[in-house]
Amino acid sequence: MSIDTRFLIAIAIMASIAFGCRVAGLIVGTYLGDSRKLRQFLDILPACAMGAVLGPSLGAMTLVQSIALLVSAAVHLATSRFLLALALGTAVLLSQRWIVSMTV
Amino acid sequence: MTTDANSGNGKRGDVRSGHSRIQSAQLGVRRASPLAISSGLFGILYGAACMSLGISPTLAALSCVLIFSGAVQFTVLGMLAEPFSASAIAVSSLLICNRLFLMGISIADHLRERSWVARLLSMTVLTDGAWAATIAEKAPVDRFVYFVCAGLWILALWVAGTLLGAVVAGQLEPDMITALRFSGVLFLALLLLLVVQNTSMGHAPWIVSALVSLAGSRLMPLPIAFLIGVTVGSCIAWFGAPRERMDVD
Repeated sequence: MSIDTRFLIAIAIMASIAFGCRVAGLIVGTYLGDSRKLRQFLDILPACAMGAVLGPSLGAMTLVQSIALLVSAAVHLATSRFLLALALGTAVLLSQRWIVSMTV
Repeated sequence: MTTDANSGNGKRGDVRSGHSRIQSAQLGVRRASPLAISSGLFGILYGAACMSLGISPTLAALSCVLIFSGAVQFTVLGMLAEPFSASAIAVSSLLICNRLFLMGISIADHLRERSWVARLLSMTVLTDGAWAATIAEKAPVDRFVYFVCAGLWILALWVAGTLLGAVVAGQLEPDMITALRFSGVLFLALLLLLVVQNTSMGHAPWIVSALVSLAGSRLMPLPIAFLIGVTVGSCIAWFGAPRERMDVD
């Protein structure tokens, strides 16, 4: 099987599952109650999922990656500018490469 | 009683808003621009990764349009080698996509006033960025239009970035791609901050989720650690949320 065929099969599987999950969430969310507490709770759940995805990555960070994350978070908290925060964090990540190439 | 479209008193999907559809669309595009540009940059990495595996740019772009979930797309790239296992791809996709399920539940209330066909079609652009931008928006916009335009803008740059990545793949050095991969974590962390800063949810639930998931990942398989992390964070969110207040005139 060629890589393109394998990739096409993978696309079909991934697209079905991704769209199915979105639609399932939409249907469940539409028929849930109107309680304000419930709605607040439902808004928090994706953030909890993001946190759970981030957790293991945070535990395996290198020093430079930790600094990049701290820089990004600090810039975002201070300025609320998403792109600037991401750009500076990425610059820190790339600086590791330059530092290594300069020292070698 | 407040009349804010984002308040708990009215349906959040109400079209009775202070912004016209065009204004809502413009605002959606404007607010999503930083997220869309970031997605475009990740698209470059994705396109380059696809090219390194011998996948054509057309198929890479097609995958972006049909799947529109960077996390799943990047993960599955590592599962295309022989022996090819469709079931392994399905299970991995399902585990990663449960975030989309939760976002679908969360966004449903914002889209309530539209027809089912419109709502179902709009699900094709539901992704972290579009969800975060919509949840974080406090202006009384037409939330359906805002969400769809934000999502389409992010999708457009994600696809454009992928095509660009396929073109410049040969000029990106492997260690640069490795270094930039971590910017996906930065992106997710910033999205999280964006949502938490603009809503009343507080930091405790996601921090607990992250810590439990981190601790769990040392002791058990990652998917189980992830599910436990989400569950514990959800419990913190449920029991820590302020009690519902009765509105009495």
